[in-house]
Amino acid sequence: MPFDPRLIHPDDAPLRADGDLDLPDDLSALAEQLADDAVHLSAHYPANREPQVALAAELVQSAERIKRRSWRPATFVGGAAIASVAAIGLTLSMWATANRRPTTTDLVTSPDASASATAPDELPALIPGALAAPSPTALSLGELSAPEMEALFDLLQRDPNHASSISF
Amino acid sequence: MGLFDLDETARQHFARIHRAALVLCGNPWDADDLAQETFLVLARQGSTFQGRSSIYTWLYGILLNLDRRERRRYGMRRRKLRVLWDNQPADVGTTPGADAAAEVTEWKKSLWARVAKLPDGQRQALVLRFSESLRYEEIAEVLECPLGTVKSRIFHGLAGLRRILEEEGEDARRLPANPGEDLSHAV
Repeated sequence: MPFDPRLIHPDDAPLRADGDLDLPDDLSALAEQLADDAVHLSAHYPANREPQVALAAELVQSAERIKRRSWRPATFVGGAAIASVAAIGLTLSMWATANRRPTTTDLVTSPDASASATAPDELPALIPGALAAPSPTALSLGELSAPEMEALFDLLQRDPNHASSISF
Repeated sequence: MGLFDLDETARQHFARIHRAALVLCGNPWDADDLAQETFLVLARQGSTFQGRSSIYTWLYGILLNLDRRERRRYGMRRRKLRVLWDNQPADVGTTPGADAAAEVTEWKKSLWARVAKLPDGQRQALVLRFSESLRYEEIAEVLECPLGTVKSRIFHGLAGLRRILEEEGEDARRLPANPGEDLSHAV
């Protein structure tokens, strides 16, 4: 059933035939007292200041002027900020592209043949010297048996003049 | 400005708006600010007035909105001030020069200090009816509620006021006819 706000009635006040409130005597006395108090208070505390309508109008106009004036600088500042962010982002992106290095995991940990097939050109830069020399073709540590791995480490240790590194 | 002249409107209606502000917020300094701000809003938003109601009922609407906003915004501060306020005895003898204390005492003697404890709807209806002498139809227009609701709020507002007085141990029949009779020192 849809909500019908008319179902909720305010507590009805007693009314006279003319539609005015039918107040008991004590409430009528309170009503009169309220009216008297309001008159008394307003006489006792008159407004200290005249209405500052001229000032109010001037404030409103100046606020509108400031609003209009501040729109252009705000646009410039916003545009400059966006351009700066875009330029910084572009620069960082270009720098990251230029300095990108291949990851070693792509080269040495994959046991499958397809990964090995892509490695030869990059391998000398990563594992120079003795490691690269025995096998200029595809080389993957995943393909080496334990004795072969041990032999490889021995070769690296015997050649102290050549700086080498192995990554897993 | 359009449908009215700002200066003329202020000249005609500032006194009544100030009086309503006074009984709404209960002290002359806030009443001044509230009345001024009402006319500031009039200056700023006067172009939206379409003449469907009289200008003074529109002004009362602005005033009541500002009053509600202030009460919300400074509710906590007002509660703190009330602690100080309640510690100020109503029947304390004031000495010449103690203007602030005299003003507090003056206000506390009036029934409007009790009206301030009523719910917003009842309080505003009582202000518009008994301070501003608006007709029920005008009050309904300002408060944007049905006529029956206005009468109900007034009736229950008065009943609530009587209950507050009873709780304070006062008999409404014993209230002075004019609470400011002996307050020549406060002028």
